[in-house]
Amino acid sequence: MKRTYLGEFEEIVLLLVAALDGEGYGLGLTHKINEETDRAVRLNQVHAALHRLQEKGMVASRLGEPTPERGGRRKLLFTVTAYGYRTLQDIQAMRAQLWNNVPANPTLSIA
Amino acid sequence: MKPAPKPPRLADRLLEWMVAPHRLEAIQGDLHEEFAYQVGRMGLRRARWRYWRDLLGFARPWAIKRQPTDYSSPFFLHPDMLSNYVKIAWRNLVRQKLYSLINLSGLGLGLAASVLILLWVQNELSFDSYHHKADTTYRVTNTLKVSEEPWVWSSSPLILGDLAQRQIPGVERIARFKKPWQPVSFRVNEAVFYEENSAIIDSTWFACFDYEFLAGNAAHALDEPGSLVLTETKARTWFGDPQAALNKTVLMDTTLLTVRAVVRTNRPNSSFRYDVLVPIAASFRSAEDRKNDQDWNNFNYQLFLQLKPGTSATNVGQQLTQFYRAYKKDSTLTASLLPLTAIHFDTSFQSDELPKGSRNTVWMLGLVGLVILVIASINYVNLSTALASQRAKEVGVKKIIGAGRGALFGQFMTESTLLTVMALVLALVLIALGLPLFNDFTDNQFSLDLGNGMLWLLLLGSVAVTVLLSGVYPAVLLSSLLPVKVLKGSNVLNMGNARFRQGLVVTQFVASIILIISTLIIFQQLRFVHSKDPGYGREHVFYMQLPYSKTMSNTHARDVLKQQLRELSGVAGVTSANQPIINNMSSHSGSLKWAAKRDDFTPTVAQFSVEPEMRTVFNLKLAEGRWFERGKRLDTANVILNEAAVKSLGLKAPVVGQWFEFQSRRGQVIGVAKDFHFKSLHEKIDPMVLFNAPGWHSYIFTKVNPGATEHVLADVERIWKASYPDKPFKYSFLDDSFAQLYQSEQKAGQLFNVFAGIAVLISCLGLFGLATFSAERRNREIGVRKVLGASVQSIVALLSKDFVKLVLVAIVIASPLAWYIMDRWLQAFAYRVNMPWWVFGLAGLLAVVTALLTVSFQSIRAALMNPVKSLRSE
Repeated sequence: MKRTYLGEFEEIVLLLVAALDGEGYGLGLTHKINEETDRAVRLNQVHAALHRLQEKGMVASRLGEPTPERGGRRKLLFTVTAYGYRTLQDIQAMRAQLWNNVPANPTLSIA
Repeated sequence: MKPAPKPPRLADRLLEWMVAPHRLEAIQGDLHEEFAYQVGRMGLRRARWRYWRDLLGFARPWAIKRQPTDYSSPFFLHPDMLSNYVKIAWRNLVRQKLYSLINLSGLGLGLAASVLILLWVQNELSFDSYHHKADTTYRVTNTLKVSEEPWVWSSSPLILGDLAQRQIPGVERIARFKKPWQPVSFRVNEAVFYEENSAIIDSTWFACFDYEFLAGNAAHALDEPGSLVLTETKARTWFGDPQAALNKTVLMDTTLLTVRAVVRTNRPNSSFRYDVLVPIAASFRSAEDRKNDQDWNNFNYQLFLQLKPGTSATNVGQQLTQFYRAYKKDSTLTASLLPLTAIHFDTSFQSDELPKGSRNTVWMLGLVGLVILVIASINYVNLSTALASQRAKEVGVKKIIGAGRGALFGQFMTESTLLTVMALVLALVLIALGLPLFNDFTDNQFSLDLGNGMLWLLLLGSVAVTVLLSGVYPAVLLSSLLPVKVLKGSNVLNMGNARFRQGLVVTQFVASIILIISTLIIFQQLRFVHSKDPGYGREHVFYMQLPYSKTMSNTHARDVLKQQLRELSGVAGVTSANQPIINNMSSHSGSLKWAAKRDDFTPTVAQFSVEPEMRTVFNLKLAEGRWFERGKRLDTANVILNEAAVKSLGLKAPVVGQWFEFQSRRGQVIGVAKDFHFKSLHEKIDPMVLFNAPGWHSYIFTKVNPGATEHVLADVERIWKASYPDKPFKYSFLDDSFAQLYQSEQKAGQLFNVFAGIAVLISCLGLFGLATFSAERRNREIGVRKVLGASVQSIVALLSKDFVKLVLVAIVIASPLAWYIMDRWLQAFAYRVNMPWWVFGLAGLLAVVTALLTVSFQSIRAALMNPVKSLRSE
């Protein structure tokens, strides 16, 4: 299967960008990840991931409205592109297919 | 409502500098939003910390990398850019001819002055360090502790060196030298030369110290006892050519010597400035001479030790001290080692024949050199920032076309570098012209030898410092101008800038005024020194020293000579003593005894052996009692004390008539002499014992009637030649020797005079430039004023006022500084002028007058201009 490689963290960021449907931006996404996944993610990591996703063409950005707590600066809002969306679907399909091969009660080893 | 807390400013500045502009808004916005959120969550303090942490997370390549643009923007050090800088710099220099000329002459003069000073400073600081084994070479210092003040001297017995070589394992090699007591006569072919600069050396000398051999070689130059080594200069005077001198024979007194090598003339930073080097073996004229030098009590040689690596100098010193204990049976004498490179600045010696330096003078002059460089650089800074408004449009247009700050900075730095390099050429010409004078003055042999790496280092160093001092600020300022403001035509230079310029002018004048005040005070003190009554008459007296001989104590020959002198017409009086009266170095402690003396009191006194005629020749005054008298035999045991001695020895009244023992002879105190200055005014008048021991006398003083000097000298020379046919006739006038005592102060004064002049000149050049600029800029204002009826005087006053104000401020700042510095300088004199207050006034007046003269040329020209000319153009 040929597709652009997507790291695990990038996948989460991309999923959340898709979930927020055009309202996701660096800080908002950071807070969201911290709440939803119970990880301690830092702002610069999210920005870096968004930067990489944009380079791969999976997200697009536009400028939003300024807010006072940002000192009058505008947000950089991200939307998922068609290519990004398809990649997400591909990953999900692949996962589902792989799950199909897992027996209902696999032998589990302890430790 | 309180304003919302802001993130740390410094952090924001860092972020704005670090992150690429096209990413900044989103990142900084997110950070601020996060900060506001965190302040609510964890408080301001921790939020600020967290802000820093978050921010530093963006120190990654992706965030820092700038967005590429479509326009080409060459690297600002690209060769094309560099050639462009030079081209534009040149055009600017040519366009602003007057200002360029002012800058050029100021910088050239400043560079020349400071390079000369630095040349001298570097020479002083590098004394003797050029020998390749300099860091393991030491000289033996001997210290004798007999009274509270130890005696320190630099010569050792000859055999101490032999013992050190044989018995101390850490000693690699030794080398000794001594300077003959008197000029040695050399017969070369038929001519006789009396050589002052000759030295007697060990055969290991050339292994210890580096010489460059022009003929012969270091290894075998001193193989035979009858060898002789000359410097290039001496070989030229004696034989015409270094090669020709080789293997020629020379008669030293009665010893035949052969020239075995010729070495390069001594470097200016060498302590050993001898032109004729004779091995020790050849210097002994008789077996008695040799035996004499083997004596432990004759400290005739400076002894140098070269230690093996890792040997402790302290240990070797202790071992030498042990030799004194064991062989000389002397427990009061200790030896220690002084590093070769420290000899030049060491001042603890009573006498040491080698040229001495003063660290204070070195630092002071070095500082003056730097100050002059700073003053010259300030001119450039002031003029180029003043002219900034004329360059502003250029900067604006360039920036709009796409020049970066780096490129503009590079361009302005190129301008200052170009100018400095041109100034350097001018400076080299000035140095070449001034070098002979400077050499004459500092008694050195510097040359503008472009093969000398040190000289290049100094030149390039000075240029680099100048470029940094003068170029950086204008370049930063000019490249920071904002194109929008410039092109809108608003005033690009704010008040702060004018203030900065004024501050620099004040700095220049503070430095200049301090130098003027210092010069004036140095000369005041020197005048004081010369005019202060020393307590004796030294006019028209010359003296000569009799040659040393074993028969010294036999006074007959001397008495005959004195009688011959007395009978000459034009001679007012003849006397003799053990020391020249102007600087008596002979002191004694130990043998003094008197009635009220406490046992634990061993004072050191100056000793002055005189005779009855002394009083009339020098017109010495007595406070009480009588002077020595001819025919009173007991007077050879009697003494006269000076007032200082009566006081410090604690003699009870009546002083005259008390018994007093001195130099193992007991007699009476027959008189008390009024204090007179027998040393330089640096020192207090010490207690002195005058006694009458004719056997000590080696100096003969002759007082001449005014006007008779010339023929008396001729007659004296004839008599001398008859008595000592093989010794050169040498004499000194007391006045000259007296002036010699203050020679270093005299030189410092003259140097300060010159450099103060240069500093003032450079400062005035800068002032002239600024005045020209301000007259030009206010051209129209002046026109309008004149049309409205202003008088020429009022306009001149208007234009000059600002500058004079700056000079006044400088006077206020400089006076206390100069007072402090010169007060410290005067402390070196026990007798000194009171700080003359009028000097400060005079220096201030001088500064104001020169400033006014400088400025008035431009302001008068501006004031006399026809207003039609300046107003027509609009």
